[in-house]
Amino acid sequence: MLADKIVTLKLGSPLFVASGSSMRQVIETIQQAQAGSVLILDGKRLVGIMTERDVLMKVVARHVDYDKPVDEFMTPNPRTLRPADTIGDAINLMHEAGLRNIPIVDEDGVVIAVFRARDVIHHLAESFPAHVLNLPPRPNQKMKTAEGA
Amino acid sequence: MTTADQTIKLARKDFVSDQEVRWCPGCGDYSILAQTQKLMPELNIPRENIVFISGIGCNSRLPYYMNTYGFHSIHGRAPTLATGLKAARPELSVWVITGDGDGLSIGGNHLLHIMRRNVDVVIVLFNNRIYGLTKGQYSPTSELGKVTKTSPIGSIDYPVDVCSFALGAGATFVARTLDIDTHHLVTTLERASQHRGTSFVEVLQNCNVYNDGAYKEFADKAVRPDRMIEVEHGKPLIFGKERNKGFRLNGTTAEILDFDNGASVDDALVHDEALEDPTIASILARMDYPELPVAMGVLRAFERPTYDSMMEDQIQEAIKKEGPGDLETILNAGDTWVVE
Repeated sequence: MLADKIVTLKLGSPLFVASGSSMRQVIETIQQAQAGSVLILDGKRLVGIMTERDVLMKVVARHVDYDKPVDEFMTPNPRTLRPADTIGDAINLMHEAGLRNIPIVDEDGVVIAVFRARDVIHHLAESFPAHVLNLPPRPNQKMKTAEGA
Repeated sequence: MTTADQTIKLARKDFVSDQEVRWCPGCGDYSILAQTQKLMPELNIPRENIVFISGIGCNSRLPYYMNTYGFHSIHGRAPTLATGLKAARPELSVWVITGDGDGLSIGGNHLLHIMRRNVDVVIVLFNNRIYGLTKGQYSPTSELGKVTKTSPIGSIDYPVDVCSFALGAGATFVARTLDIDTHHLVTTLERASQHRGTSFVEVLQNCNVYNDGAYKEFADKAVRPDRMIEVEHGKPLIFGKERNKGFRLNGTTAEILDFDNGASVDDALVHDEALEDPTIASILARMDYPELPVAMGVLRAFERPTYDSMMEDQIQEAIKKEGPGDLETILNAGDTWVVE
């Protein structure tokens, strides 16, 4: 399971904004898409990432000018992985670097997906259907015998 | 399907009923319920315009757990109620919940006719290859030789292929999905909900108590990329962990292509779900491991007039010709008499 390559997962499409976009635009983009992060591109080149955590810690209640470019607040040159890297590699990076969103890039450095912490949870749930995915809504709900006719 | 009211903004929790979900822990029904509840807000249809109708079986508990209208009806008869409801109230979003026993054993006849008629409903058939509610008898989809409580020395029934049955009955939308691939499951149900006509979805579902591991051999996450093939309209049929295998037809014979050994991606069959002719869809439906990868996805999706829409047209035509009609007059017409 952990040796599976990232390319085998169905990852969501990343959200992009152009370098130089205002913080106001970026926040509206994140809100509209209900996304956890947005990737900042200069042309096709990945130059930064802005996560909801970044917005909370660097922007909200910090008396910032929302018309300033996102480049001033983003995390520049984020760590990335390739599609052929494994899920174990991704979890290791998340664990070591404290990341929750990892851009996945192809050989040309073009971003093709984002691997998120929730993708790990999703993968775990589907890998253990009897013990994770298909549990009753209440954790303590147990029946002495299987119900049936 | 029913037109959407764009002003409604419901959330998943609005579709969760107050009933305690009583399936066995580990049952694939939980996943199907979760994805169905997750999908409902996206339909933008008021809850009072959505109806889930079930027959008998573990699958048929689902209406209790949906905060919509619903019927928990009698064994195998959900399609008949759904047909009547849709004819009377064509604006409703009607879902039929059934299983391999309810739908293909006692309910086989009704299931055939609702699909043949192309009634505008969504049918979700939970196929766990066993009679689960009654604790483990073989079903119409159990494998030949299956040992169960009612087949102690092995079943001598040839199983029915569910999607082939639907294609043969004329369903205009036929799809197969998996309980443990939640993204595929919810996107398949979403496509089914958008189709106008009978949408039939087979869900390969695991009963972890009476038939655990029914699909493990090819559906388990570790082996699925190599043993199942996802079909998508307009895309070549390619599979494998390394995406190095393909599928094509040589006449009506299925062939596996090995891209690592000379075959080209251009040789792979490009899936066309809109074909009215069900031949290729039937071939895909019947593919089975280990000889061939098991197909999942939308096998067929084309539109033709629905039963309910044609009925509505006929009613309007009749009203135009002869007026709105009066029930009393109709009842008293013809050869009647009064007993005094």
